[in-house]
Amino acid sequence: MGLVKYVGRRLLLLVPTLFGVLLMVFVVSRVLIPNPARAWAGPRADEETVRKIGERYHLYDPVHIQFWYYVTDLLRGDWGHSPSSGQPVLKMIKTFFPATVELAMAAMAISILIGVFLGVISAANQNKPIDHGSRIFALFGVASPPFLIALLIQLIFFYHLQLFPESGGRISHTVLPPKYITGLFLVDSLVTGNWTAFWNSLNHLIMPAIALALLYFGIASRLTRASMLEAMRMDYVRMARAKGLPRRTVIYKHALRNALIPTTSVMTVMFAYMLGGSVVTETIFSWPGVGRYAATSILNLEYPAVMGVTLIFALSVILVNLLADILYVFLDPRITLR
Amino acid sequence: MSTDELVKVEGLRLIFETLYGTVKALSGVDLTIKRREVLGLVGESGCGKTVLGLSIIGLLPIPPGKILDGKIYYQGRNLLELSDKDMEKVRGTGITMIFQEPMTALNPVFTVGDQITESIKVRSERSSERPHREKAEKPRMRPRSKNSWSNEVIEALKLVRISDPQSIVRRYPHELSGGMRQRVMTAMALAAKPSLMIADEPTTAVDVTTQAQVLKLMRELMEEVNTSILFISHDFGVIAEISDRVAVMYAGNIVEEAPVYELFESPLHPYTRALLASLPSVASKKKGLEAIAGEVPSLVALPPGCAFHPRCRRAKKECSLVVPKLTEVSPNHKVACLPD
Amino acid sequence: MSLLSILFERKELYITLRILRRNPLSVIGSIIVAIFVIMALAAVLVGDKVTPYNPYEIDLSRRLQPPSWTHLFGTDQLGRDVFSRVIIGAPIDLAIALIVVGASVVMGVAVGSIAGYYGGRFDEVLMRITDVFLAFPIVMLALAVSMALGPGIFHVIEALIVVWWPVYARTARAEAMAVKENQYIEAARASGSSNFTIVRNHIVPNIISPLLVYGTLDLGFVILYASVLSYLGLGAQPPQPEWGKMVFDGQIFLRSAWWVPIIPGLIILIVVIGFSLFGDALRDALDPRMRK
Repeated sequence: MGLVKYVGRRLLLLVPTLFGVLLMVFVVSRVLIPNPARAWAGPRADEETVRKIGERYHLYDPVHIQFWYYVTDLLRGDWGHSPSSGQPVLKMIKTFFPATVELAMAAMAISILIGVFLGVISAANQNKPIDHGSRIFALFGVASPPFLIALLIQLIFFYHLQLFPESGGRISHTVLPPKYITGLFLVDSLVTGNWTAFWNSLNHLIMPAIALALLYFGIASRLTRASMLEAMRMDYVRMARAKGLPRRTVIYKHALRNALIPTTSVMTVMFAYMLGGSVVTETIFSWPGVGRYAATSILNLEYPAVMGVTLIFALSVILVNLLADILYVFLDPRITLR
Repeated sequence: MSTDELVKVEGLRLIFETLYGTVKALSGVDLTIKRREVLGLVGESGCGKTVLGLSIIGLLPIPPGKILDGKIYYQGRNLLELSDKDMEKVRGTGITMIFQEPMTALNPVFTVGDQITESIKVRSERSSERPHREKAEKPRMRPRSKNSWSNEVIEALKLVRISDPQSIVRRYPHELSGGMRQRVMTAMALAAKPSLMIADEPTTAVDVTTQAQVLKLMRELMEEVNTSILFISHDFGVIAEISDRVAVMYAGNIVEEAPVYELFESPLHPYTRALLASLPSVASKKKGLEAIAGEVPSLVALPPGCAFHPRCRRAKKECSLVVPKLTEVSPNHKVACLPD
Repeated sequence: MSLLSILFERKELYITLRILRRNPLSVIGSIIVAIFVIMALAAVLVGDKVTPYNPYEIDLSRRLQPPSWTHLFGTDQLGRDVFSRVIIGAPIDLAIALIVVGASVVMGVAVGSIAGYYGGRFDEVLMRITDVFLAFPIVMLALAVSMALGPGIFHVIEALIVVWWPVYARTARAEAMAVKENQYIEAARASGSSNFTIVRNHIVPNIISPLLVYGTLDLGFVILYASVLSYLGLGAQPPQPEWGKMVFDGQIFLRSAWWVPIIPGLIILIVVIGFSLFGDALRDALDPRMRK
């Protein structure tokens, strides 16, 4: 029961942040734009349409009235329409969202597994070649422009080695996507026992996920390494050794367990980075997710779409942070559910 | 090594390579720890006592640290020649160590019971390897469910006079008081039934009343569990209270070693004398506090010859040329000073 | 350890250089940064003359030629020499980085030092505000702001400043809170200095140093994000040779002429690594623990 209250209290603390996020997107989407009505209506709309759009979204009203309508519109599900296709933005986001979730989760999983593993090995063998090697590898990851990695992977694995399907997207044209349960192809195909769809989707998912993961696994590995080194300097590690525990146990039980605590909180920050990185990665791999939607919207000057994606990303980050807070409680006995 | 000697350090020389120069942490240390005794190791901060303790148990960080010379004998073997794995086997059941701050020495994410169980497991695993060693029966390790611990853990807690072991055993370190943590740390160290426990400033971080309890407890434990204690401290009063014998350290060297009463009654080394003279309790009989003239030398730039000679009232010319060796001048009383 | 004391005291400088020299990576980083800065300065001061070819000159007969001795990085789809364009593109990113980091440091120190020192309501409000900023993925927020403001590099700079300053404010706040605990602050207050004077004379100088070190490391990452924004179509407009934009323009030729998109991307990577190594080394060298 303490947990429910804890979550409840955390949610309460989120309210000002949520409000701030809404306010921020509002400011960016209405106040900063020189001519919001024109922007919303699109460059090709005639004056009449611009005026009608402006009236519908209250873009000519005073700021505080605009904000009111902005929030109520959002809650009603009206996140604007694409000027060119007329499609409602929220509907488009909903369609593309599961693809991005799947990509981000896969990338996170890879990042964490490789990153934490490498970080622990690095810390345990400090200053030996493997440590230097993994640190350099991590540095390349963090410093790489996302488009470079994605393009290089395409070049090497798709064109030269021909290892993975060149056709972009989540699944080949010839294969039927699995029945829609969660929207995550891997999960849905596993649950329905659809092996063709599973392997095909996995095939398509691997390379973009690795591309996205390579960018940020460096953060995980550097942080794990630093936390491990920090933990290994602690007195309780000396005490564990003084007790006669073998070096393995000392590292993998005592140090690691403590090092995971700060590492977890950074993972949540990484998630925010990954959402950002998905914009470029999805574009290059033709992955039909929210990131690519944002990128094409920029090129086509579709303001409502970009603002909508910005908002949904921020909401996702807030949600993931909340989950991480809860996870923290289970990891660190010093945190009381107070 | 005679049969009542447990650990014998001979001529240990140790340096640290730092950016500011080479730190001579230990310059030829000779020390003997006997069975069933509390040996107090006393000296000012930075004189090398902790380093000596860490060297004996083999926990000195070796890249900055480097052992130049010397031997540390334990059970007939030179510990410095042991491989990492073999040294690991000595720790826990042979030699163990407790530290100054119990809060940081206990792992915050594991329960007290878990951490004590680890020590017990170490002992049971080793005694099963060499069955002739331990005539006591192996502790039976039942598969443990979430909130139950074996009797041995409870016994270990009772040994350190914790009154309600059942409730303490499932707690995390941050939930306990300072004095309690101190006891838990001691229980953890003794659960593996070591021959030697090195205690590095165990009373420095606790208040005076707890201090007295800790000292009393340690003396009793030494008798009950048959563990020798190397008690490291800068506090002469504490050393006097608990030790059987005392070794005084200065700038990386043992300068005097004697049974405790004899050391206080007739200190031979000028440094020991000066130290005792500067203690408030002794000085209250005299006119005021006497500080020792001069400063402790930096271990990077030690004076030639005897390290203490620049501050010594009885210094002669030879004192700056020769490093005096620790020699026995009367039964059990050793000094490192040139005779007058 | 203060950056300023490093620069002005010989002993500290000597120790810093010793530490830096020990680590070959930091040497590499410094070299990369130096080359980049020289390249950018040369491009700005000397202009087209520093490049082997005119970076804007279109010659369709020489398009898409692979790297060779005549064209070190090859030519792009309009026959322009990629090497020349890379050089001319350097000052754009360097300028963006310097302005963004500079403004972020100033804003961050101004807001963070006050929040860290005074605490209370102001601090709470600042934390909430930075929370909001940090809830947005950097790329996305910069995109949205940049798009809202319109095309052009200056808007990219503004967008990046908006996104960047909160982290500096938080760091400055943390440092200010640490400095606040020092004895000399109490002494200053006891001798009658006003709070504002204390902040100005004591807090700010002490927190500037770590923030500047952090900023040096960050220069590379600003360049990274600026190039991503340009890649996505914001910021640099043709024919400005911004590296990110060059990648985007060239990516359709990935298969046939890989050097057109890949090389500018690699250059970005190298520059970012350079700043990262240099900043890391600088930070390690200034870490009091390392100096012991």
